[in-house]
Amino acid sequence: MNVNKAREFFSAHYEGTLERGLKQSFETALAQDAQLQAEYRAFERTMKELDGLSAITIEPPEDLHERIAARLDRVAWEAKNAKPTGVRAWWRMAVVGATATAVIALAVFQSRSGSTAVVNTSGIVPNIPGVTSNDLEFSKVPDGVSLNVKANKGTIKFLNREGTELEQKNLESGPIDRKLLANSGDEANLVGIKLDTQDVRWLAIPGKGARSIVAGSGSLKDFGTAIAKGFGTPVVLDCKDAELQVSWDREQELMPLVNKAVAAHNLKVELRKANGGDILWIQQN
Amino acid sequence: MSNYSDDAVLIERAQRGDRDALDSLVRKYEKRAYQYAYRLTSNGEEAADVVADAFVRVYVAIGNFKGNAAFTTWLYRILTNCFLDSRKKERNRPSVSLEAVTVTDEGEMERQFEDPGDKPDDVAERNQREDRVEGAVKLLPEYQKAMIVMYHAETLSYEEIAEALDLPIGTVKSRLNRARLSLREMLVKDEELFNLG
Repeated sequence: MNVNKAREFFSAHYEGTLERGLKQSFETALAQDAQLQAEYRAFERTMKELDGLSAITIEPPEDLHERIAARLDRVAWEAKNAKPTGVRAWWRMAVVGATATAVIALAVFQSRSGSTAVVNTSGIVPNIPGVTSNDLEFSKVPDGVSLNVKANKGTIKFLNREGTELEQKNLESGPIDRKLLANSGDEANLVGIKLDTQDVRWLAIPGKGARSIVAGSGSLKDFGTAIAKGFGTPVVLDCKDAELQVSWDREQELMPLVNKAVAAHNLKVELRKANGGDILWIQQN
Repeated sequence: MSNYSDDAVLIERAQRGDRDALDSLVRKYEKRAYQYAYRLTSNGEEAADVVADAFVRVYVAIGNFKGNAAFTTWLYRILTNCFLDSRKKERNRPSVSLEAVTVTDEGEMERQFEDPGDKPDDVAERNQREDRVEGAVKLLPEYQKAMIVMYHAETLSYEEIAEALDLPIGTVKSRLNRARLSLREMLVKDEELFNLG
């Protein structure tokens, strides 16, 4: 072991933590070098002196606690009164952003799962005369579509896109007046309405997202949803087979697009005018 | 130094915004914190500032304290960082050398500076040897000084120092050995000068 290496082990040897082999090498090097011995003796003295440091106590100033408390008070006050900047602002924006993302994600999830919020909000839904067909009256309102049910017997069921029942009401307890079929998401949504023994009528409710339509193909349900999204127009599918396959192009105008899409099928298309906004009706011929 | 369970309760309360709990932590550790800071800075005023800065950082970051290490280890880390930051600021500020010489009507004399800090009461009672050791420690590079003070004055273990400085234990040991070798050299030179005088 050379002198420089031996110096690296001064602390470990002093503390008695050197392994046996290294200890032997170190002690051999020490025994053979008088200069190294002198250095190690000086090192031992230094260690003893250093260990004496812990015995020295240092008294803090009497006002130390008040000084710390004053600094803490000031920081707490500034934090309470400061406008959000820097990291705080970033953090707040992140929280707001995350919340918004969560809301959008929920809306998309709802849209994809077809679970339109079907909420009874009679009293705040505008009473707008709508389009009536077989005891159902639809009106376009700002948050979705308002439904009046004129029938007073049997039941009415609300279904999601897959046909799963969302809600059921016995009409004998009283007719439904202004039920809001709401869609607060970005995407258009689809809800099925089954009145007693009649066939299900599907209603595509526009969402709040940007309007755009792209060429596509799919079932009438898909088509209705695409129209509702692309033009902001509610679509009622009043036909036996809503799974009927159609394809559509990207068109600027609603009716040419719809007419072209359903031309090969025995379907009747009608844009019914109502006070709150037009409703597209697609029904069996 | 640290009572884990007592501290855990105080920390949990402080994390919920309980100012009294934070105050209790400050009262419990301020003296120890000041002692460490004074040993690093050798200046009462700067030491008090370092301690106040450190407790502000504790207050701001207490929510992030997970309790994986002792509160004191965390506090030593913060104190060390505050000390290093304080020195960095000091280096960037134009300063006057303590060794500056001024000329008066009576000739050339060393400029006298009053230490603005609170001198500990027992300084006068320390023997010359202790003063020489402390003087040598002051001359060490800041990081080595922090390690020497933590180990020899604050009696932290190698493991605690490694945790406080976020270094591998082997690095702490080898750096401490180098710092001790430097101190030995300084003290030997000082002894030689002392013997010559």
